[in-house]
Amino acid sequence: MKRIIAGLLALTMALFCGPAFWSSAAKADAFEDILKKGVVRIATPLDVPPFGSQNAQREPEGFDVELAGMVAKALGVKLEMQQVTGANRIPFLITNKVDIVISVMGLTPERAKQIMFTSPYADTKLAVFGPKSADVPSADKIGSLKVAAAKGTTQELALSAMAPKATIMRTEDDATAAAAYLSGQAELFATNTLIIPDLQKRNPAKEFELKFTIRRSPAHMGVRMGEHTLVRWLDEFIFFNMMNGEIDRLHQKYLGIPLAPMPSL
Amino acid sequence: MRRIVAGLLALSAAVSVAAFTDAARADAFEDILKKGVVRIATPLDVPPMGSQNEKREPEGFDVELAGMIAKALGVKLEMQQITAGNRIPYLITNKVDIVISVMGLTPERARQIMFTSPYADTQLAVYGPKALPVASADQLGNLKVAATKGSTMDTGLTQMNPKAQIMRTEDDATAATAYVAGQTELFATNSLLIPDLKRLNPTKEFEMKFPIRRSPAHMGVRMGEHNLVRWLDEFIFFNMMNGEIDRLHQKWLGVKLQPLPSL
Repeated sequence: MKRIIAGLLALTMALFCGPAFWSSAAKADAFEDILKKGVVRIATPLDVPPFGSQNAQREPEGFDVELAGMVAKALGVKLEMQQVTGANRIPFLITNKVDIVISVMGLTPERAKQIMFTSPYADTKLAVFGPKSADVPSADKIGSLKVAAAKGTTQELALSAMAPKATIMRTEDDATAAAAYLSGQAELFATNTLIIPDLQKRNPAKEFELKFTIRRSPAHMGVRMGEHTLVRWLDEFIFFNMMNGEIDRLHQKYLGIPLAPMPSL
Repeated sequence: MRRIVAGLLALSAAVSVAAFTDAARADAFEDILKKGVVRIATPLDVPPMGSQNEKREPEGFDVELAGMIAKALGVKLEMQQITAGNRIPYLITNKVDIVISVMGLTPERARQIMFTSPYADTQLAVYGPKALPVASADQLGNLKVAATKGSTMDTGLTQMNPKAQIMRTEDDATAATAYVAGQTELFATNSLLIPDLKRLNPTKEFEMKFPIRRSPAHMGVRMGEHNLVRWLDEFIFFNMMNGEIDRLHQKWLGVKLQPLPSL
């Protein structure tokens, strides 16, 4: 009897004091972990200049890449970079391969069921581009022309919804979508307006005329659902770097335009 | 002895249930997606935000917004009619998940519930006949002002002039009726409701006498529901970017969406 009581007492105490009961221990806090471990894992694209690309020495560079460096520096931790595409960045976040995604990522309520977004850090527009000769002033005028778009991006999702009958060539990533347009496999190209100047510079003979705007779609960082401490810090980081001119500096450096005023979340 | 053992068994059973379930820490956002239903409270006596048409179907800005939310979540919508008086209790007692009810944000209310960023810019003001010379709260004298009990108009006006003669009504519809019927000389309400009131009462004057406060409309959720409030902020942002909130403004309010700061 006494042993049974002692055993039950021990069990109750163990359960009561154990991590499972005070569920906050079972609930990881990515922000705490980042500071404790001294490392932040950030995913950026490397096929989307000027946001993320590789220079001649195969070093990552670009708006999102530099922003990732600034985030790590402000946190006072080491930066571990991970390359991602439009298709795998959310899975990488959800499966805890990375802590933060900085990838010209557009906010949608659908995506927000899986991850959390920060306030925006750059104002961007989704649009369809093509040669001057193409008469496509709206989605319903696409006709049988093929539109290249990277799978899983907001431009691909939005265009699919706007023009269900359109022939959309869904590519693995942004670089392949651009290549499909450049090589003439697709007559039109759906993308983010901010990447056009760079593409135009590298392909001076190709025409990139804006045919119609799909939607205003600022770029936000992403974190896992429930990581409220981390997302708050990132909002604060973005706010601070709006106030001190740093986000504007990144705009001038990589995009050749000033930061546009934007609402926050 | 046996009772002690029985007691300890019960205790450890209870503790282990609590430990191995998340029941102690509810997450409304998770529940909504899991159960496939979102319960949203809107008013039905406050056109054009929430009212009933001839077929007694709910319609209005807040009503349509509720439908858009359920659609974006991919779940069924369960609507609940509320008034300014019971909307916060309904939220706190978990009768509803979200309140969309031209609700103004105050730090006082924010001690009980959490607010999203705003989705419409509105002003609280006192309205009356053109000829009545009342240019500020201190000029009210003995004039009676109809206002919904506990609303931001009621508390705002009382703060401006503690001696104000406020006829506190159960809801906005009764306050409007009291003014239209001449029971009060003045009427404190939300600027968004005036165009519709003018239409329904063409012979009555609704001139703005003085503003109480700029008081945008926010959605409300239970305290601690951070995943839900964040998703709603993201939903509002997205629908500002794609023109949908502006479309609602044009459709129900006849005005464009005004630029608004967010939380």
